[in-house]
Amino acid sequence: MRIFFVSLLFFCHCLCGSELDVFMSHTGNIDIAGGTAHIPVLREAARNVMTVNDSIKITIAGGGSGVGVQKVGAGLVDIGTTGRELFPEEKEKYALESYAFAVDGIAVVVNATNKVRELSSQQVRDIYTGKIRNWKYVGGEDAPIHLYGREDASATRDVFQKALLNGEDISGRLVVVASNGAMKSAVARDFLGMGYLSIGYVDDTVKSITLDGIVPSQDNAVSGEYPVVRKLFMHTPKQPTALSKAFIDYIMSGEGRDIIVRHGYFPLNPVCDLILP
Amino acid sequence: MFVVALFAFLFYFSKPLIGEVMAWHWQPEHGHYGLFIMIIGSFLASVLAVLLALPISIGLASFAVVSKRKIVLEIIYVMTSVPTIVYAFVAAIILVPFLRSCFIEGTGYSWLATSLMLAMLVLPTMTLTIYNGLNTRYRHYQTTTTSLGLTINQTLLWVIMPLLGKDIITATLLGFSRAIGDTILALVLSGNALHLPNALWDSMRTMTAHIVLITGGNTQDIGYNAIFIIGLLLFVISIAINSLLYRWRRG
Repeated sequence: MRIFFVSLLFFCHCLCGSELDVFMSHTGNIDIAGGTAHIPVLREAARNVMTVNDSIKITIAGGGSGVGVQKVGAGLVDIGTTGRELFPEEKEKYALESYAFAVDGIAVVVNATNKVRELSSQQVRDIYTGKIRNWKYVGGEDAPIHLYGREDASATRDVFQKALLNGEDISGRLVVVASNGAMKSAVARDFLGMGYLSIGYVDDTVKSITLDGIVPSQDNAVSGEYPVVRKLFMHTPKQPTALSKAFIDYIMSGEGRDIIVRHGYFPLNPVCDLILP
Repeated sequence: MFVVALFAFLFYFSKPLIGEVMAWHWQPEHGHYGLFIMIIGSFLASVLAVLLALPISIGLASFAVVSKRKIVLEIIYVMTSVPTIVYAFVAAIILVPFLRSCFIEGTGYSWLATSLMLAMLVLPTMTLTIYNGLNTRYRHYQTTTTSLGLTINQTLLWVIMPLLGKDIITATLLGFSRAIGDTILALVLSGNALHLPNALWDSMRTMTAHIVLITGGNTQDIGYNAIFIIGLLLFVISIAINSLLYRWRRG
């Protein structure tokens, strides 16, 4: 019995574990553009593929979720990525296939030197609507809060506002930056800064805030305890190129899962979930 | 012909939104498409930039005329070719943290940061314009005034400057139209906050940065057409300034 299960596991691991071989027979380009939260994962996957077969060229651009949908819809890229589902108007206008491959949390972040470690969602809401303007009201120094946010087209912003703002208006003082990377740099360089960031981008230069007593970690994001989460999607035209399909399958595979986990996200992978532990 | 076509294109795409943009609030999710904040923001940034650059460019042009060394002029020419993106990221790394430490209320991404760098951007052009006018007149009057016993400074200050009115205004308008059209500096340095700045250190948003921020958005949404309205506005402003200059120099 045990031998059966071990060999089944082994077999499945083999099935799921040598995805890169399929790329040996392909050649060509994949152009990817869209949300910035996806970039760390896609970049590592692309690097693996290009190392195995250097006649394949994969380029990954940012631009935000809005740009991702536009570009793949117009046929300018092979895969468009978003940090949200497609809007109904987008579904109508473009014929796209969507693949959700990971769950990402969005953490509220402050500068690494800030002594404030936790906030309630009401406090975050009051800060972002401009009612609280000084760190001293939330347990920090007596200094003004420097607020950072994202541009209109950002899915990260969309998810953050829906989860935490209850439809109230954002303060006019918000400084707008144009990507997750830019947000991280801005908050890392500003002692009094506060912003929101995809969990996969959080590193030692910024500190993520415990929200209502829940740490924004990967496990909490998946278990549903941490409320500010969204799925990361890849979209292709209804007839994707064989190479794009192979790349998407790679991301969804066991190796893809490892990459996703390593970058701080949680993988969504229906097939292997049934078989692998 | 091309100009007319461009104008028609911009006008056509702006039409759905024309009535709506003369308002204060930009909140596409609530159906507000007001551009006042951005328009005023652009003007604030550009006017301050020109005000900062003007005295310096007059001084620099005078220096260039008097010093008789070619190198000064060459340096100014070279400055005109620096790409604006270079100004933008250098300022983001050096100027912004400095301003943040000076004015703790603000994030450093501010009206002042934008205008200071815009001033650096328009300075060479303005200097060269004033230099040309200054040089011609100086050469003309120099022998007369020296023989009358005036020093160089007196010549410049009392004889030449009053004659420079036209050139100064030309330089100002040129600098202004260059500054108002600049996108990268405003995008990186202004903070893009959706409100009018309460002070020099406060953040604001310009029309040009606003175009970039909308560009990634939902093309189906009517707010996207605001890009064309801003384009139209910038176009009209540029044409107005340039035709004014043209008429004036003629007459």
